[in-house]
Amino acid sequence: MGIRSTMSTFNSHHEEAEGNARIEPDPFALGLGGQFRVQVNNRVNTEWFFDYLPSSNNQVRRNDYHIGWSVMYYLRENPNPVFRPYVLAGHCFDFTYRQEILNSANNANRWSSAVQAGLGTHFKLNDRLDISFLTQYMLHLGTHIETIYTDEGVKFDKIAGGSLEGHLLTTVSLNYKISDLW
Amino acid sequence: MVKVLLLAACVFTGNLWSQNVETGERQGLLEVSGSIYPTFSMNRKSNMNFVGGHLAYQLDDKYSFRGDALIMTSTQSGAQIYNDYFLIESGFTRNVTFKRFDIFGGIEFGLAGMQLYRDPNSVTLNAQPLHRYYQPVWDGILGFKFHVSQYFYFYGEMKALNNRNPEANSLQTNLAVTGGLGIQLPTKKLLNK
Repeated sequence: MGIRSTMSTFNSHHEEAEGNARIEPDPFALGLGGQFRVQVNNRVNTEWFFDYLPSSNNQVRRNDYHIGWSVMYYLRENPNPVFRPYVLAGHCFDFTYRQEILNSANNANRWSSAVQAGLGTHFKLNDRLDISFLTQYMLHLGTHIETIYTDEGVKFDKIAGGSLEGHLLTTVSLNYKISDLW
Repeated sequence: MVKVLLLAACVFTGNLWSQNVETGERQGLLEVSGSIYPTFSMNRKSNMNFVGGHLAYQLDDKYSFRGDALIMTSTQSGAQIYNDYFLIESGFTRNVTFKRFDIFGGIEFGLAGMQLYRDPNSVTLNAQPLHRYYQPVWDGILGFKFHVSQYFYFYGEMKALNNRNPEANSLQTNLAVTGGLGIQLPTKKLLNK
C-alpha cells in the first residue's frame, strides 16, 4: 500500500493560432494519489491506483482524476534486490474537468478511457518499505476537450470521436508491505 | 477502566518497559508534537505563521511513518499570499542515530486546502471570484531529535512545502521551520511484554 505524487506533462497540442483564437498546451500538473499492490508471483505484480492532478494557468483550471490498474513485470528474478526494475502496462478511466477561473459557470467535463505503459524501479529501503520511481505514457481514447483562448474569453470545445490525447506521467511513490498473502 | 488505569500507571511509572533510547533503540516509538511553524515563501516576499504538529511511528530503528497537519494563522511580513491555508500530509522519514541523537530526513505527500488572498485595492484581482482550491503538496523534511528520556524529545526541523499555484502556471515553495518538545511512548516494548 502506498502514497504517490505524479507529475504530468500534457503534450497532445502545441501552440496553434487562427485569427484571434489560439490553442495553448495544457500546463504542467503536480498530483497526489495512492495505490495498493497485489503481487501474483515472483515476477508479476499488479498495481491499483488513483490520482488527482490539478493544473492551472492564469485563465483556466484543469482537474484530472485517474483510476486504473497496471500489471508490472519484474526484469530481475531476485525477489529482494536493492533496485528492482520493471515494465508496466495497464488501463485507466479518466475524468477531466475544465473551468474558466474568472467565470466558473464556463466549464466542461468528460469521461474517457486510457491505456498506459512505462518503466519503473523499486528502491528497497527495508524488507517492508520501498520508494518507487515510474515513468509512463498514458494515451486517452474518447471525447477530447480543447481550450480555445480568444480576445473575448475562453471557450471549451468538446471534440467527440476517437481523438487521441496523451501525457507523460512521472510518479514517485512510497510503499509499505502490509502482509504476505500467499 | 481498571485495565486502562493500570496501563497508564505502567507507562508513566518505573522502568519496567523502558526503551533504551540512549543506546539508539527506536523501534516502536509513537511520537507526537505540536508547534509553531514560521514559514518563508521562496517565490515571493512573504513570511507566514503556521501552527500544527505531527504524529510518527517508528517502524524500526531507521524508518518511521509520519503524518503532519498544518494551518496558517497569520502573515508576519511582506505580501499576503493566502486568505487561508491548511495542509494534511503523510510520508516516511529515515533516521541516522547516534546514541540519544537522531538526524532525520524524508519526504511527504499531501493535500492543501487554500484560498488565495485578494488585494482590496486591486480592481483586476477583485473581479475574480474567491475559490477554495485543493492542491497536492510535496515536501522534503530535514531535522534532528535529541531523546531526553523515553517519553520526551527535543527536536528541530525544516520542511520545504511545494505546491502549484492554483491560478497560475507556477510553483509555490514555502520553507517552514519549527522545533520544540515532542512526546513519545514506547509502544512496541509495552506490547511485547
